[in-house]
Amino acid sequence: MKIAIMGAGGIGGCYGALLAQAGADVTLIARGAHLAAIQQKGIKLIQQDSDFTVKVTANDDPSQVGPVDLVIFAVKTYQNAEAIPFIKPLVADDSTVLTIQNGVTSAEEIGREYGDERVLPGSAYVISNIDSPGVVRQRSFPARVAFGEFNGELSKRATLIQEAFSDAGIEAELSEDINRALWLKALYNSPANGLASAARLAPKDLIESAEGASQFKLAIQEVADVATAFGVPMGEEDVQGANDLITKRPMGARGSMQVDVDAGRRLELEAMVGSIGQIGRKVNVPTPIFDVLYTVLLPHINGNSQND
Amino acid sequence: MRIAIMGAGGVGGCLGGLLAKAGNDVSLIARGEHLEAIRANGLKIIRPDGEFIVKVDATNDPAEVGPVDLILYTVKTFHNRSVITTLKPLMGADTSIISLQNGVESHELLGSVLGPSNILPGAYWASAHVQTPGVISEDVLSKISFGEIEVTGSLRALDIRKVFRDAGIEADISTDPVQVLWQKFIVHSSLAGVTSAAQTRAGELLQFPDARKMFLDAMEEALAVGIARGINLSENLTQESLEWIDTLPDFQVSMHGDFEAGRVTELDALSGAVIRLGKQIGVKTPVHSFFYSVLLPHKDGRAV
Repeated sequence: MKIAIMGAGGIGGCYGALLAQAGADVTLIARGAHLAAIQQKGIKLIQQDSDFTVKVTANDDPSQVGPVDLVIFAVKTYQNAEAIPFIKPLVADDSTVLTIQNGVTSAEEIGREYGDERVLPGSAYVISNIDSPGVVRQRSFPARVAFGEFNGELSKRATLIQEAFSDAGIEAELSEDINRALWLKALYNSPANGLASAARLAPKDLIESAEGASQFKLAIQEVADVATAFGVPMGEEDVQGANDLITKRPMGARGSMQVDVDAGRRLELEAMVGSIGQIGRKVNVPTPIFDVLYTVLLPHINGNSQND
Repeated sequence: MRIAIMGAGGVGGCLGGLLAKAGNDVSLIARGEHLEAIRANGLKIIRPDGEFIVKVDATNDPAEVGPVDLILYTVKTFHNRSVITTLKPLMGADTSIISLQNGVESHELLGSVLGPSNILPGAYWASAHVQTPGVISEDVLSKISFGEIEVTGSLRALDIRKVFRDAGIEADISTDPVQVLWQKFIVHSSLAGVTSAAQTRAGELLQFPDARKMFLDAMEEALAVGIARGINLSENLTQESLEWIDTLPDFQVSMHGDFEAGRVTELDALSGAVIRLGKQIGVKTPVHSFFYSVLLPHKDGRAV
């Protein structure tokens, strides 16, 4: 299986390094100093108490790579508008594009360009970041991924992709209800990143104050109400589960968008926060907490100019 | 007039400097490096229309000052608990206290300790800060409004106004000073909340339509709390205030500056008070509750 990773940053780089180390035919699409380092020395993945470096093809130009069987689409969601058409040379009739981005809307966006039949919605469950050019540090173990067909079918291609992940030591769940899996992630990920970014405080530290806990409760319930009205029912147990996940986070562990807001970088605000309000308006569910989160974070959506 | 300034920071220091320059017997109550600098070099005031240095008595101990005619109470609200009782040595038979703090609760708190009839609630509009120890910079000429809670046409209020005006301080007597406090509070608590939560200065933030609406929503909440508590307030206040803010040059609300610098903040006297006073009377305040929850961790200085 010929695989291209579009966006070899913290998440894409981690999966790419693991797949390459297992012998898969992987090409990383990356840019700048990170690309140069990978081309020169291979990609290095630092894990708990070990690390490895693996030689891997890397390029910033998809037309030099040509069609692949699988594109793992792992850029930040705010890059979608440019990155989706950019991968055209990678996508042939029988190619599959698997998105593992944050939020619940990316698969649809990719489907509009390449047809829903070429798209697999998915979700990454790993904390990982670029340490320095060519070097990625994985912070949660094992790396996990969930994905599935829009219609829930356990298709041949999905099963093959699952095998490729498993061979690389990535825990891969082939979901018969991937929409539910995506919303379950959004149920904790959107409140955790939204509130923590607004408060400039790690989710677990914030939820420990009574005031913070009550905002988390309201925010999680808003996502649950939107999902339910959108046709993805979320019950009390799901809400409690999201709350527990935030409570159980390691003390001080920041969400990815919070890391970006602290560093003055561009934010995945639309995918993490804005989309909840937008979908809420479509299904007539008010989202007052997400509206205020969006309002107070919007001035920072493009980061500080000096960090661009 | 014999005047003590309790809290010679930006607002108190500026007023004290002007009053001293006009020949009043002023004592500044201050602390630390600021106090030492005032003692050594006098107090320097930099205003848009010029600067001056004035020699003025300064101490950290009100007992050294003794009874005065007028106290201007200008410490930050979070000092109230430790400071109010220390005012007692300044109190004589006819001492008046003008409370010039943010929020709407100070005059009641002062009255409960020092006698309600001695207190004249006041509000100020100013942008002044301690630039370096002993040096106060005022960006906008300050303006004061104060008055008696119940009495009208009080002679002491007229005397005090004359002292202010003779010192070049714009001062008005209000027949309903609590209303004036609320008018300022509604605008100030909401703008402090929204700019602190968004970590963005007022001028830039209010260019975002969502942020304008949020500022209006926050003012509506505080207004509803005030109206429910029987304060005489106009429904037009919120829209008029937004239009007024639009006419001002870009500025930073003090609480936002305090959060940014990792200092102790007046969150409890602002959004905290909107929530508290609303709860007492059954008015919901979701926007201020949001501000409060995301700002609370940093309220006494930046959390790690």
